[in-house]
Amino acid sequence: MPMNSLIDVGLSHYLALSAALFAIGMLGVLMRRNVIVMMMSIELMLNAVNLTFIAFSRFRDNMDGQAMVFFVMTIAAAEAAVGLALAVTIFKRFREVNIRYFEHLKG
Amino acid sequence: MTLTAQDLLFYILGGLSLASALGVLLMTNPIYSALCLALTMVSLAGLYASMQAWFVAGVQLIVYAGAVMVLFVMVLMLFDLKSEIKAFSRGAVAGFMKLVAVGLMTGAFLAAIYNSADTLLGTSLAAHVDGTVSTKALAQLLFGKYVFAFEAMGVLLLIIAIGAVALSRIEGGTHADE
Amino acid sequence: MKPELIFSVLLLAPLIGFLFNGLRWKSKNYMLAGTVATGAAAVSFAMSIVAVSRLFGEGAPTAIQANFYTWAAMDLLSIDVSFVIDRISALMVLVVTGVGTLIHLFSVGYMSHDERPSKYFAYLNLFLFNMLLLILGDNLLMMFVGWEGVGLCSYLLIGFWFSDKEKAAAGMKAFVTNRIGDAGFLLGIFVIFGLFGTLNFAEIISKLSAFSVETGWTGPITLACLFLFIGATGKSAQVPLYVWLPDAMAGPTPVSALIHAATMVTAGVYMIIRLSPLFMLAPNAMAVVATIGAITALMAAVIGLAQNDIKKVLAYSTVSQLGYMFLACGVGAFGAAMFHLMTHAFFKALMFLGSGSVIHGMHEEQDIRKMGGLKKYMPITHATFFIGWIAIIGIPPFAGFFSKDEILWYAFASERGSQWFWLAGLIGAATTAFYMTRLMALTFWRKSRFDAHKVHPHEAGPSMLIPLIVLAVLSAIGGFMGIPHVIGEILPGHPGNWLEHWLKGSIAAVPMTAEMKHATTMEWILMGISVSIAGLSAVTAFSFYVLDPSRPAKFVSLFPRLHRFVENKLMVDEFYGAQIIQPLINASRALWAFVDVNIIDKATFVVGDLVRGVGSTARTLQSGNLQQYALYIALGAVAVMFYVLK
Repeated sequence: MPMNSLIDVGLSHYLALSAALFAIGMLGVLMRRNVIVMMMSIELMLNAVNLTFIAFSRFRDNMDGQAMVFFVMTIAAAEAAVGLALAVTIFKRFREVNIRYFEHLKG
Repeated sequence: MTLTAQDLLFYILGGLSLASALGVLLMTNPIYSALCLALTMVSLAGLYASMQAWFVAGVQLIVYAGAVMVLFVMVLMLFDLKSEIKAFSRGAVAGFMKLVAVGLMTGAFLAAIYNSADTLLGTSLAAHVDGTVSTKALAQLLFGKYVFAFEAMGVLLLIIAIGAVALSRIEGGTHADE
Repeated sequence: MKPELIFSVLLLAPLIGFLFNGLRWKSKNYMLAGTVATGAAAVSFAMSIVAVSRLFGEGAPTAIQANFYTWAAMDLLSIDVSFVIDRISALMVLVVTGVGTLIHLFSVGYMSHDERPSKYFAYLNLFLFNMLLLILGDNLLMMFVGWEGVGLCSYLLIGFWFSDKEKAAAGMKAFVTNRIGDAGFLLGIFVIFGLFGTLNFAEIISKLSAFSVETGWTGPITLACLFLFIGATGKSAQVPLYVWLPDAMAGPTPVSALIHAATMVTAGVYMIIRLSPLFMLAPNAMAVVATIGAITALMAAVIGLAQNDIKKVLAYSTVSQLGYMFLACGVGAFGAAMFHLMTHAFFKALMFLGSGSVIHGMHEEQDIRKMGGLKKYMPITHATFFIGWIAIIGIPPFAGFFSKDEILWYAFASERGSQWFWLAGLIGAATTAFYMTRLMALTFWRKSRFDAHKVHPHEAGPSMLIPLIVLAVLSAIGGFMGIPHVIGEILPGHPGNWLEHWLKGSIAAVPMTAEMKHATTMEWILMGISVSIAGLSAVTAFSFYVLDPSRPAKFVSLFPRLHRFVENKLMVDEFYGAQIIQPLINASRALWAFVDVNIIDKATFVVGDLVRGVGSTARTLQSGNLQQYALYIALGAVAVMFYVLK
């Protein structure tokens, strides 16, 4: 990879950063056992997506991407609220927030 | 080609966000994870600002780094969780497969980005845009083109609020009203 | 009245009677049940008279018909629920409803002590309805519906006293044997539909002009006729499927009279008469019909010689007389078959009802060896039975003489007949005279052989006697509707053969050479021979059983094995059991023990195990572990990405 493209930061760089953040978030969801940390990882993934929206919006000169970010944020907030409520419920019963306890939801 | 301030900002903030994201993943104490996440949010807000998305950057700080993170931290405090002994899932095979899946996915992303670098090149960064102008444009978009989606989001939030309350009232366990 | 109304009332009256009695089947009020059922039959009879009277007079139509609705309309096949009374079905409908009404009436007395009279009368009405469908339907499928319906009712009524295992088995035997015939009938219907594209009788016959007489064995018309005849052998109890009819005597006696003597068993004859122009095109099929008829007439008569159950004797007699009808059909004398069908319905119904009266009076005793001398106790039954007896053995001028003699004459004179058919018929007639005389002698004449202190034979009530008397009158005079020309010419007023005239044009004419048509001397001679042979036979029997009762035993002791053979019904049931049923059972058992257990069961087990194995493997995928699910999503996403990006 030429030095030039490393220095001249463009859309590709933002997307690559976004991909890396997404991968980290995904690993968190897959590997961590704490429900709350899993949800934080989900937030991370959503933020990675938001970064692509902003980057495209910037480099394509199109405001729609920023509007989308609003909706994603709303969904993220909603998801966090419900997820945390569930976590609280689980915690009340088992005094722990391990994801394994959600297996009890299986019929 | 010289390294502009914009580029420098990308590397600093991008590196910070990556590092703190790794922190979220690797910290065994959930509180530290939460704080790392807050740092990620803040650095992302900085990145948004560097891309002249001023309003979104502000919302990111207030809603994410502020409200959502406070929620997380509050819950963590409530549970009084200490550093976990078994922070990661068991199973060598399953863990390996998870790593492979994520690796493949990221590889595919990066390969796609690299291969399409030329087509992705858009207009180079334009001159400084006035924050009020871009915010106004955003507002017109939200209350014009996307007004129904916006209102639907409001309703969604209301439902979520009620649902969260209903869920919290259940007396523990996975069975409602024993 | 419009034809639709006539047919509606005619058909629906017995159906309503069936519903009425069927819905209150637990009731033991035999009077109410019997009155309703008999009334329904009588309404049908009255309507039949109304309908048939339309066919008389100058310029009267040859048929009245009514089309109610289209049952099934397909591309090629359209089945109408439509009915027709033409000159053939007119006779049949009168016999069925008329005799049917009398037998219903008789049943009121006969079933008065029964546990389930409502059920009995419901079945009887249902039978009448189905029989009317069979007769009046104007296409083969309607006929088939009725055909199956009467089969069902026959089954239900044979096994009416089903708590007796033997009687239930008799019903089953009748049903299963009939199934074999019905399969043939269905095949015949298929062939006919393939050939003509229609099932309507009139249309089939109108299309026949395009066909010529078939000579071989494999022509479509021959095949159709043979298949239809297989159906007829089942329903009308011909060799080789006749075995069910003697067992069917397990049912109540009026049922034997109505279904197993007068009406249902003649359905096969009726069907062949209906399709007579079709059969005329297949001489080989007709030869089969005639041969089977002759064999049956002879064989059943021989078996009848050595039976001791009063109803069994009459049953074999019925089989034998049906053989005569088929013999007539086979030689092309369809009119004679129809004639014999009617007279037989009269005198055989009479004799069955008479035997019912005897059985009723003797407290359910059926063995004629334990009877004798009943003339004294039951004078009216004896008198009517006497008329039936001389009618069936063919003493002029009673009904049986005219019809049986007409059959014998045509068996001899028709182009399709032969002297062998005539001879078989003659021997059959002689045998009939013998066993019927034996029956009379053992039942009614000479000394009583029962214990007069225990059994008190008594004459039946009026509801049983009236039908006997009416049928006796019909048996006496019924023959006058078909007086042969040779006799008509010497009688005052020269009465013609009314029946022949009536049916002319509706059925195929008897194929006869001009020479034979005028061979009146020959006809006289043959008539004389048959009457004298029958009379001689009857006198012999009289001398055997009345004048010297020790003679039969002596005679039998000369041929003990032959007698046992005849008494055991020529071992036909045993033969079927050993040669057909047992191999079938063995084969089925072998199939069950080997094919079913080792192949079919195993195959299903393998499939089951396979599915269970796959399932138990797959269920581990659904562990409830959310992170595992997330992994599936990730893997799926990877797969999709690689597919999209290549």
